[in-house]
This record gives sequence, structure tokens and C-alpha cells, in this order.
Amino acid sequence: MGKRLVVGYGLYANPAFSNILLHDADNPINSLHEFFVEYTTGKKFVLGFSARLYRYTYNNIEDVDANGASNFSGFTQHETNPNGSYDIKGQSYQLYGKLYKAGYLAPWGKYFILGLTLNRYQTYYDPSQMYVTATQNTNSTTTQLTFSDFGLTTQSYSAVDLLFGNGNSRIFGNRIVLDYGYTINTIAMFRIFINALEDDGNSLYPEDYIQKTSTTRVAAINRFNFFIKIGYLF
Amino acid sequence: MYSIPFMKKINFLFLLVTIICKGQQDLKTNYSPLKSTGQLPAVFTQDIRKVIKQDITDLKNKKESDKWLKSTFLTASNYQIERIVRSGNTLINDEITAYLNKIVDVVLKDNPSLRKQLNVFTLKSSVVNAYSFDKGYIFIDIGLIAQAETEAQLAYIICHEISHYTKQHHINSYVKNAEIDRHGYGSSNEERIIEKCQYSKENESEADIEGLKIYERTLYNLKQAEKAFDMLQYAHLPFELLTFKKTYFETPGYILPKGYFLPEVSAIKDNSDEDDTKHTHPNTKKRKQAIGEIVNNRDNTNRLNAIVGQEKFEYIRDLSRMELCRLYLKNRDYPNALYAAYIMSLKYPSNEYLAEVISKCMYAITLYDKGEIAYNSDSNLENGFTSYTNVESFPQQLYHLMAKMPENEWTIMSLNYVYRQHKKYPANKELTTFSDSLFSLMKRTRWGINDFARIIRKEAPKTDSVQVTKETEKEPGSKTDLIASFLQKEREGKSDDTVYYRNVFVDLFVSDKEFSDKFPASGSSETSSGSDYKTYSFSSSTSYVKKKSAKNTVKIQKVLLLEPAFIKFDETKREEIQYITSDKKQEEYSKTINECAKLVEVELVTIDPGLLTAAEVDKINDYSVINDWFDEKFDTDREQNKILNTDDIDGLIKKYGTPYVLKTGIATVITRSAKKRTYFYGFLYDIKKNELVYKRHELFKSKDRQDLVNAKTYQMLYELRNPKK
Repeated sequence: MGKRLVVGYGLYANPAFSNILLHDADNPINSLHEFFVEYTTGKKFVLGFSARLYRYTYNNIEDVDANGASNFSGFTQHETNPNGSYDIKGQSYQLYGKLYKAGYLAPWGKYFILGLTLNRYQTYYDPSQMYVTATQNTNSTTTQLTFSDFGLTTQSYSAVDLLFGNGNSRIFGNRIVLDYGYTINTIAMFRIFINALEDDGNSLYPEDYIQKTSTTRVAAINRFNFFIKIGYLF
Repeated sequence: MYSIPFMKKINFLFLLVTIICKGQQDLKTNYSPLKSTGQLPAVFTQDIRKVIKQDITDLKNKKESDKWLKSTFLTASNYQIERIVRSGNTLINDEITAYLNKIVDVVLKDNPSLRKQLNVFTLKSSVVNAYSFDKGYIFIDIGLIAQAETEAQLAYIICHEISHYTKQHHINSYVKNAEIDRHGYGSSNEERIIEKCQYSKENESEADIEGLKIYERTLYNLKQAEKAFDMLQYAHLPFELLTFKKTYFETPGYILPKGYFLPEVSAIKDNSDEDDTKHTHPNTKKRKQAIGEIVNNRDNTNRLNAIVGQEKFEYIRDLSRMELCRLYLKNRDYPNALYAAYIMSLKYPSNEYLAEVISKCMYAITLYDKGEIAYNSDSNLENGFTSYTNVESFPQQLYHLMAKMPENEWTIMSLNYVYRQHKKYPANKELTTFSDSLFSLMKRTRWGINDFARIIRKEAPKTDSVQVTKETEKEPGSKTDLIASFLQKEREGKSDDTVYYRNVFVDLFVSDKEFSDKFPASGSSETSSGSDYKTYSFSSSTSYVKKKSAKNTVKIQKVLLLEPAFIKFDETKREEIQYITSDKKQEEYSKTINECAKLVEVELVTIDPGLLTAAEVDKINDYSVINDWFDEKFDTDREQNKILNTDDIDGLIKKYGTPYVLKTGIATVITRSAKKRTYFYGFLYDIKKNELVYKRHELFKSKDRQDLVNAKTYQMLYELRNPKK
């Protein structure tokens, strides 16, 4: 009815398959929170910008190669997953366009979404909480040692992705927009295959542990999401 | 010396005063299409949902069976009555309806309480029928009044319809049909139809007998009740059977060949004893017999054919017949319109309206012959004009003439008639327009000035031209001579188009400068628009393609919105139309349109019979005019369908200040498989130019959600206001 600007909040969620299938799931659903602003530029097109925020605790489910730690070299090799966990705090920024399908009129109706995603996230771990316990066997003595050599306690990463998806916008009372659908981040989706190709059967070295696991984790959070958004139409 | 003109003036004044006092039309000179007058009845202003609620409450308080079915019926019936009365086709407080009500007064003189329950209306329909609904609504078609031979016949038919009401046949049939459907699983569909028809026939027979009981209490001629069935039996024939005169279209220089006329017309078939197994009414023979047995045992002396008045009856019938000409024209049934107008013109030779109808028919038949007027399965005439071999009695002569006369010759005959009518009634804009259009057609038909004599010879052809050519025929010699001879004979068989019409316009060429100026110098196949009115001019193929895309190129600022439609079907239910929901949704939709129009700054003038006050009778007349225009327009799916019934259109455009009429609506369906579908449409027509300016129609696989309605409505109006360049 002539209104063009929509501002609102969105909840994104995807099932944490790896958590559910492989481990006891503390968190069977990955969720993200989004704030968005969208502007209808034509009968069939909406330009949008959104920022998603998420916080996640990685429970160190991947194994680490203890022998790979520099200050443990020469000791008997042990493979175990680190104790504790580390936190991931992420922001994902999207610039996207919504292309409305035949018969619909932006910002109402079914649409196809296409855009770019910039993923920025920081990891943080507490060395006193996150460490690896390794066993040293020398002659007849066995010594248990701990180490926490996972690089800087705070690390930052960023990645670009290609976003697409489908959705449907409903408008209630000419003001409230209810939007639902799904999105896919292409590169994040392919992360499964990239990991499979990179997997040489060896455990991760401690200094790569956070970088590799957080990349996979963040990809899992972003690769496929159902969403429900609520907005106000100005 | 001055006494004669003075007396003439006095006579004229007397006639004028008589006409004004009686409120009657002077059919000798003209006819104005029937209009509703006065205050609109309660059905326009009442809250129908409250009425239905009350009806259902009343029903619940009665000790009756099938209450649920009857409640459904009452809902549907109330809406059906409302739709008919508000359609614009129902005449309110007009001369004919007033007359019919006088007959009802006579018939129910001794039963005032029943009289009060009845609402009798005239329906602007060419069908020969009458309908009775519960709640005392009786509708009589114009077609029936035009066919009636006496007032008494009309009175008997009204009595028959009153009996349907008093015996509650409408509601009982609904219940019975539901029962047949419910318990008829073992029987075939055909058997169920026969069972339903049987029940209907029983009701009809009962209404015949009960109607006669009411009728008997009056002083109407009892024999006329029996004769009413004869009248109905032959209702498929024109209201009068008069020979179609060969001389009708002839002028001193224009004598039609005899070959175009049948020496004898076909006989009328007697179907009175036809098999009525699958008919809702018993056949005429049975009905007549049943009534005859009673009537023949009654004393019929001193009984009358007319009680309200014979003169009044004849006037009302003529009025109906005039209106019937218009209705045939609207239905694009040009041969019937022509024949009806022909009959009426024999009685009223100086009636301008009849000249106009005949002119329009002549023009339309020319276009039909050229393939520019077409019919399809949606048309009133599904298969186009009836073949003359299937026409009975005198009208066959006209159909024969139409079939045998080549279209180029029909163009000549049309111009000859229409132009002379234009000269007779120079102030008539319609006649001017059609006359001009025919000049264009002459050019397109490749007729030129050299094809016709322009100098009066001493001996104009007075005999049949076929005979003349036969006299001048030569014996063929060579092969080419033989071919020429064959061709000549073929032409003669058709008409001899080289001779008989040559002098048709000679008097006009000699004495009429306007005619000479307008007549095409030479024939051409190019498009020529000699008319000021695009409605009747021809469009080139390029503009036709443009119109097909139906994207408006002009900013629309003011629109006449016809009653927006909203209808909801649920195929999973017995009564598929969800009347009450549709009604509520329609109200909401009207509001949405108005809101959107304000937002996009389109000025809306709404003509919605559901929103009228009792004093707005003029709007219902306007609604009727526009609906008639659309009826004619949508008679086929051809976008360039010619609209000939346009008398009131110019006045309407002037009144509302816009030629743009928007028809929009939403239909939602819940299918048998519980799928939801919503169909949205919006069409904007320029009724002046007969152009589809804008169209949008879409089907959605969802229910009629408010955001969908808002979005599509807004989009439609926005696109009207902001056309794509």
C-alpha cells in the first residue's frame, strides 16, 4: 500500500546435526539473531541490509594431536580432545536483494533472495580451562602433563560468502511484516566437502585447532538456516 | 385563415397535456428505454445479514423438518433475490411494473394480507418467463409481456406465480432435490434428473390449478387462462407473425430481386405434445388439458380480457416490445431485433427509436457478413445467426434475405436505409454515426462512385432486375463466352449484383450534397474512419495488438468503479457459494479499494447498488446502462467486440466526468481436495472508445489473505495512476 521501509528483527535457526548425531547435544538448534532494514526499490525488488549476531561455545569435540605441540616434542604421541571449551562470538553482515516472484508485489509475497555475506567472528579461550592432557612414557615412568598451546587467547577471523534463499513475506494490518523462509551460504555449505578433502586422517595440531574447528563451526551455523522475521513497515 | 393552425396547436397541446398527465411515452414518435423511478425498495437498503438471521430464527420457532437445509436455502434465496433486484435489470416504479402491480391488485382484491406480502417487478430480459421466489418476490420478464395477447393472460400467469409462493414450492423443491441427491446413490444421474423434473412438474401442475382458483375469483376471461399456454408454446416465435415485406427496404430506384425472397415460408411446428420427461414443466397439451377440463365446466359469460384496461394493456405491451428490441440488440441477436423492430415500425412508422434499432441491425449484419462480428460458446447466439432453413413462419423471409444477399450488397441496402433515416432524423447522433460508418464500409467494400448511377434517367428500373438481365442474355459461343455465361448465371442466381442496385442512390447524388461529399470516390481496402465515434470505426491490426497488451499509457485520474465483486466458493459444501462470507468480504474489499485509491490519488466514483440510499434511483439506472454495455462487450471474448447499444453512454460519461470504468473482483475457491485458490481480476475499460485500457488477472495458490488483497488492489490502482512509459 505504498510503504517501502521495513525495520525488524529476525531469528535464524538450523539443526545442529553434528551435535545431535555424534555427541550428546547440549544445543540441538543453532540460532542467530538478526536486525535488518529493507527498502523496496521497485515492484519486484527489495534491497536489504542485515546484521546477525551469535555467540557459541565450542565443546572441543575434535581431537588434537598432542605430539604436535612444540613443547611436547619427543614425547609419546597421544590423541585426545582438549578439555574445556572456547567461545565464538560472531557478527555476520548481509547485503542482499529480494526478487519477488511473478504475481507478487514487493514487499509482499514470495521471493528469491541473493546477496553477499561478510562473516566476522572472534574466538576466546581460557588456558586454565582449555588444555590437553598428554601422557609421557619414558622407560618405566609415566608422566601426565598438560599444555594449552592453542595460539592467542583471542583470535579474529573473517570470511565472505554468497547468500541465496527463498522466502515469503506476509503483511498484517498494513504495518507488520512477517517474513519466513530459508537461506543458504554457499561457501559455508561447501565447507563440508572442503573439510572432507582436507581430512588426511590425522588429528589437528594444537596451534591450528581453534582456526580449523571454529571455521567449521561457523560454517555449520551459517550454511543453512530457516528464518522467521518480524518487521515494521514505514 | 388562422383557424386551422390554431386548432392544430390546440390539438397538439391537448395531446401533450394528455401524455404528461398519463405519464406515458408517445410511441408514435419515439421511445425512451425504460428506467426505474421513485424510491428504491427496502431490499436495497436493508441489512441482508439481519434479514437472514431473522428468517432463520423464525424457521427455528416453527415445527418443521429439514431445518438445516431450509436455513441454507433461506440464506441463498435472500441473496439471490437481492442480486436480481439490485442487478439493474429489475425495473422499479416504472410504468410496466406499476401496471403489473395493478393486475395483482385486481387479482388479490379479496386477499389484502397476501397482496401485502407480494413484491412484483419487471425484469429487463428477452426471455419469455416469470419467476416466483419465496418471500413473495415475483419477477416478470419483458419478453413475456411482449408476447401476451391479453391482460387476462398476464393475470393468469401472475396467479400461477402467486400459487408457487403460497405453496412454498421454491423452498420445498430445494429440500426435495437435496433429498433426491442424498438418497439417490443407487440411481444414475439421469434418473435423479428425471425424479427432480417429475417433482417440479407436480409443482407446476399444482400452481396451474391453484393459480386458476385465484384467477377464477376475478372477472377475467377464463378461456384466456387456457390460451396463455398457447402463447407460451409459441414463445420462441416473434410476438407477431407478419409477412416480411419485400418493399420494406426498397426505394424508388432500388428494387430487390425476387430471388432473395422465398415464395413460401415454412410451417410452424406443433410441439405441444413433446416428451417432457426431462422438462421441469409439463408439456403444453397436458397443461391446457388440465385447465381446459375445469374452464369448460365454468360459466364464462360477462368475463373480460382486460380489467385494468385494454388500451393500457396494449400500450404496456408495445412499451415492452420496444424494450424487447433494445434487449435483442444488447444480446447481439440482430435478426430478432430487426424483425421485432420491423413489426413495430409497421404500427409506428415514424418512431425514431425503431429507425435507430433497424439501422444498428443493418450495420451489424453487414459486419457479421464481413466476419467482424463473431459469436462463440459464451454468446447469447452460440452459433451465430440461425440458418433460414431452421426458422419458422414469416421471420424466415428475413433470414433468407440475410443468407442470400451478398455482404457487399447488404452494405448498399444498409447505407440506403440508414442514410435516409439520418436525413429523416438529422438530430439523432446515433443515426449520423452509423450512416458515417456505412460510408466507410462502402469504401472498404470497394464500392466507389462509379458503381452507381448519378443521373436520373427517364426510365428507372421498376421491374425485377433478374428478369431484365435474362432478356439481355446471349447464347454462348466460344469457351470463354461459355465461362462468362456460367458466371453470369451464377450472379443471377445470387442477385444480379450488376444491375438492380445501380440507381439506388441516384436521387441522393442529384439532390443531396452531404451524400455526394461523403460517398467514397473509389473503393479501397484501407482503413477509413469517417466517424467521430471510435466505437463504430475500424481499428488497424497494429492498434489491435497494442490493445491486446492492455497496458495503459495514459494517467488515469478518475475512475468509475462498478460494484466490486467478492465471491467465495466451497466445493466441499452442498451450497457452494458462501453467501454471508462473500458479502462480508465484499464490504471489506470495497473499503480496501477506497483506501488504496486515496493513497495513489485516483478519484473513485463508486456505483454499488449495495451502498445506495433509497433516493438514489438514478444510480441504479446508470448501473443498468453500464452493465448493459458490459453484457454486450462480454458476449464474446473478442476484445474488439462492437458495442451498438450505446444510447445512454455519452450522457453517463458526461455525468461522471470519466469514460473509464473499472471492474474488479476476487473469487476464492476451496476445491474438493481442500486446496485454496484465489483469483484476482481488474479490468479498466474506456467505454467511449470501447477499449480495454488495463487488465490484471492472476490466480494464487492460497486463500484470500488480506495482504494479498491489499497488494493486488494497490498495484492495480498504482499502475492505473502511473502507467509504464
